[in-house]
Amino acid sequence: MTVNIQPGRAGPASPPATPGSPAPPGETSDADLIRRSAVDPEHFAALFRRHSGPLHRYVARRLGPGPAEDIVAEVFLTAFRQRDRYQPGQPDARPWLYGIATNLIGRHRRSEVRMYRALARTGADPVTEPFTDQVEDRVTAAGTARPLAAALARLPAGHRDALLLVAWGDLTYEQAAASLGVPIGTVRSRISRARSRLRQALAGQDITSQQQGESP
Amino acid sequence: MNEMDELVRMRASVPDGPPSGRARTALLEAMRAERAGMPAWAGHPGRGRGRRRGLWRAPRAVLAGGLALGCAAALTTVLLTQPGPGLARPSAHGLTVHELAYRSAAAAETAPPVSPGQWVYRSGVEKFSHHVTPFHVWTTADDSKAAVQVSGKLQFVRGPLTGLPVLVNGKLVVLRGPLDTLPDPSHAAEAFYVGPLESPAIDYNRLGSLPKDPRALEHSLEGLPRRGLGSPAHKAFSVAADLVSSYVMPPEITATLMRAIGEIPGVTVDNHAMDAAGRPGVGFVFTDRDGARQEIVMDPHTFRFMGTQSVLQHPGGPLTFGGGTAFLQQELVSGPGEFPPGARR
Repeated sequence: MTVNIQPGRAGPASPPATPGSPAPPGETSDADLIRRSAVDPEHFAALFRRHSGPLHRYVARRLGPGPAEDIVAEVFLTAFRQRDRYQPGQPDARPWLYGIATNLIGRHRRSEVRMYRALARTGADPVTEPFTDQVEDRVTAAGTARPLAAALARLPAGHRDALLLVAWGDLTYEQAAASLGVPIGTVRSRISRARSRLRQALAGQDITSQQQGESP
Repeated sequence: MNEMDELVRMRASVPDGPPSGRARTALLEAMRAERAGMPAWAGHPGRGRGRRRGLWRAPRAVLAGGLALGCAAALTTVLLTQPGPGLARPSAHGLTVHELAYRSAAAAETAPPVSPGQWVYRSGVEKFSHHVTPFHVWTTADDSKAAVQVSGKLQFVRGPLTGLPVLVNGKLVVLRGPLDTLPDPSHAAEAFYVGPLESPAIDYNRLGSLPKDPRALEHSLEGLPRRGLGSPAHKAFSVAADLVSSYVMPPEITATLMRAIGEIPGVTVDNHAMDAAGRPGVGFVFTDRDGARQEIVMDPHTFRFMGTQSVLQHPGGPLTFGGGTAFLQQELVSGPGEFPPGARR
């Protein structure tokens, strides 16, 4: 059997699974793929094709493209080794995969916070620099990104994980709760508090902008 | 302004994958390994039969003692040309730190049990800067006794010895103190700092009481008192390197230690590592804040310990020194002076 685990770029012809809809219509569910991989490990390659691109983007948004490569590799290796523990009643594997990724990201917490702080302080984002060609784009992005980054850096790790799983990982609250292994009420509470911090940070940024605009 | 919308737009320019070939390769290897009947991270323990033990110490201290006794001339040099199993093309490319850690652990678990007083013969080379010195010695597993042959006669050295062989005025001496205690700083360029001068941070008799969980062990290593090391992670890596190269530990302890190395923050994999004998390997790498780089080099096929490599900055200046150890043969023997089959006398 030929093994093909080239990651499929999620594009118009192959849309990524939407939250709560683990696999595009007509395709085998994640749970089925994992179950089949117990007999033939190569079925796991389809899970890689389906989720590695979005997962890589999620991790890269948090830590940058360099660490993202290692973490995505490790997420899928860990998942492959532990697939016998997968709950067959969960058709969408993303909460499981993003949960593994969250644990691995936790090892780079200092680095992640350092980058938020750098962005807040300088307006230059080490994560997006390689992907942002236009100076104008960088300036525009930096406008709201700076106070957001400052707020993200100050959030407790658990709050940041919950918030970013939803905002950047496209998970529902329920899926984020499954990823983090906490009750959904905890996720709601964490996200609510985190959003409140972001609002305050943006409000402070607005006031600052206004004051700067008013000064001659 | 909706904070969630703004957050979703933040860093939106990061493209949607795909990850590099490394992730694909690693998964592919795991799938192939499983299809071949091996657990996904079980490594290839069957390939290492020619070497019964691979987890023996860099006999830095023993060599130091041996050299101090003036027995350098008795050490054989033919071992330098002895081909090692690592000469084949590495097969470990694309491994993550955890993959390497668990393969190394799986390989360690296949080693025979050993008691503290068990004698072991080991030969290899010790490298300091551009100087490469071959050695063959006998030590006990707990490094409490050592023996070398001098002019055909066995000389015993009481251990554990801590010392550092350095060149001063062209003569090798054992330095018992920090590098800045060299008698004449002008000889600093001839001195080779190869690692901490302290004894292993954990006494052999305490190894059995170490945590059995890799993460707990990693935390435990971070908390050990070690002088002159920076971050907790640096400390943990240095202690781990010291243990694998100082003792012949029981297989299960070595295996846990290998897994713990994979848990140390900042440790990466060097797919093009090389031991002191020039054999290719795959290395656990830790780079400290000053840019000094330490490696624990594993055989890319058997995933057994091959040696260590260090590139360290002289504390007093811009000079950079490299050092390391390679083990070419390591065998359990019944007593000191006994050569195992295949040993070059």
